[in-house]
Amino acid sequence: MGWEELPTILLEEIFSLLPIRYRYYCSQVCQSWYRTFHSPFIWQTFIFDGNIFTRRKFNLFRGYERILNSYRVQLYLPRKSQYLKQLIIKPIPEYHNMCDFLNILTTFFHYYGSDNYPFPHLEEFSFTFYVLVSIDDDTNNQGNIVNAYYQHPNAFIRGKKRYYGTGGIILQTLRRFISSLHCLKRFHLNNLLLESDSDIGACLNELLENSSETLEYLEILNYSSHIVPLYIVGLFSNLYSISISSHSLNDDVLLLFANHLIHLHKLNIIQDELTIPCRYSDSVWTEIDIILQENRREWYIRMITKGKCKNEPFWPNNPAQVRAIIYDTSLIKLVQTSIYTCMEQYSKTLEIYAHLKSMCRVYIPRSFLERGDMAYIGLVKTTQYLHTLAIRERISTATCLLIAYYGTKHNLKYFYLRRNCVILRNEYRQYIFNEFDDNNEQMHIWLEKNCRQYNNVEDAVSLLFGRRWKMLSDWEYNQIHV
Amino acid sequence: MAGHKIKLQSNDGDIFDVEVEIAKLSITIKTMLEDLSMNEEEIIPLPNINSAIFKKVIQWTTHHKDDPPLPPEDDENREKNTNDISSWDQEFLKVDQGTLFELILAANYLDIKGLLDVTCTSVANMIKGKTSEEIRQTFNIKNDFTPQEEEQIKKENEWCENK
Repeated sequence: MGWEELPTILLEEIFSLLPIRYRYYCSQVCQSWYRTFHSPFIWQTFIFDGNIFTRRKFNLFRGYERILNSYRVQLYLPRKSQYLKQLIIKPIPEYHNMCDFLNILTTFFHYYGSDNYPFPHLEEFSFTFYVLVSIDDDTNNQGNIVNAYYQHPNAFIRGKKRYYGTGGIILQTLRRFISSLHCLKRFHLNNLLLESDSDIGACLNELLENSSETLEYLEILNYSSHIVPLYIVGLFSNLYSISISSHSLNDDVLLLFANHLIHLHKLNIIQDELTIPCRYSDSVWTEIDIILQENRREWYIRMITKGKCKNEPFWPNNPAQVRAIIYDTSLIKLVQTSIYTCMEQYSKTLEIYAHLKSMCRVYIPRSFLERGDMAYIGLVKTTQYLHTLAIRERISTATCLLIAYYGTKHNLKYFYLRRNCVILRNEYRQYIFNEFDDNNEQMHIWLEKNCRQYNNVEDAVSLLFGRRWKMLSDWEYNQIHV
Repeated sequence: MAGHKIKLQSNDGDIFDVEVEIAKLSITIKTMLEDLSMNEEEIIPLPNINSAIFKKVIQWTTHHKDDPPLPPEDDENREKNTNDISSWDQEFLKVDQGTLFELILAANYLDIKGLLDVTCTSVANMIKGKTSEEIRQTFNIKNDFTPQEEEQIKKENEWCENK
């Protein structure tokens, strides 16, 4: 038996990992591979990444640049697009290619007309705008930035950086395209950074027309460059999950979600370098809690920090049902006070606390009291539903043992620890980890016995979890996702 | 928890003692043990796998048994990534294409998702950068097209290629 007889289901798996060009080469290999080339499965996802269907062309002024070959797109669409389930437009700086591509798609829709919708299986559309950034180095001339602002009204200024969002023709093209989509289930629209008030509502209005009933998942990050509450999101009545920037929310929008979106379960409040951190009033969470309890619903709120964000988010107040706190960025260092705040506010709800992405290798040595050890131990002791904890900053082996010890008394199941951050040490002769019952001699003997070698720590923790546990290398640590 | 072993038999008759924890990474074996409530002394036959491949599979599962369990995956935001193979796996997959082929079949039969993913990814990476003739050579596949068919297929999907 040879490769030509590989079961189709496995061959499909392999083909779907290949760029279109190599699928084509594979189709010429043998009969059975040729048949697999035509199987719908491998054409379910289309990613427009700025390379696909382009060719390099020399331009006298700018050198080589990629130009979309619209002829190839036109050949692709009638052949394979009916299998499309997921259409992804990546952030690319060649705006002209992106617009050309969207225009061809729109024309394709119009050609078929609404009776004969050409994408019967399309469920998901994802669009991320490539935000241009320029850095103002001239610190002495602050007026420069203000002038620049008047020259480029579309620019969004933060510190020394200027961010350019979308508008104008690009936005028009995108709107026209979205208005021809029907019955989507999942929709992502990121980093538009709209500036002018007249543009607010763009794309979402079009989406609401054709997908208001079907939409289940909506991700809308950095929609505007200033604080604009997005009431319109509350009109998609069947939403199950929303990912949204903190500056697109306010008290009223949150109340609208609680009152109107009866299927809403997941609410991800996301912050990155383009987001303006926003605080909501304390009373709104109490009101929401009452509404949710009356209707026997629960929210699963995740506070996510990602990208190049350097600020901690504003923490919603108890009784906000915050279940997860995730730092998906290597720029924010652990802050003890934020762990203590979380302990105080979310001890009844918190399930995940994670710092993802390993940090650079340059360490500033910190003394025990400046490190997160005690805070982490406090966290696992007080939050009884915590099931996932990911630590990438320095703690000692003794702390690791204590986290596992207290964690397994509650619900801790997934404990990710970056091996490079763990030091062989036991500080708990000097510092008290618990004022009450556990501070006995037996406990100290257990710590002392196991904390001197990495192997012993792993064995002891494995014993507590009832399955094999180990610390992770940097590569493995970067692979985890929660 | 460790030490508990079961007996598995490959199709050429060799019997392997495998720790239950490791064997259970295969969903097929796990289901057999749990649903059929097989006696642990009984020998489980694996009619589709020979000893050489089964040794490789055990080697892989033994190395990956301590992998952190992944929480259930959301179907949101998943994208296929072709380059993420850990260095150990890359080393492990430096085998001839015949072995790789049988590993894929074994991973599929035993239902070990992790192994199936890395083997498929590895094949995809081998295909990338090659022409059809080179792919045929690499995987030892016979060209069963007539010249006319070949010409036609080439034309039919020309739009896939950069010109």
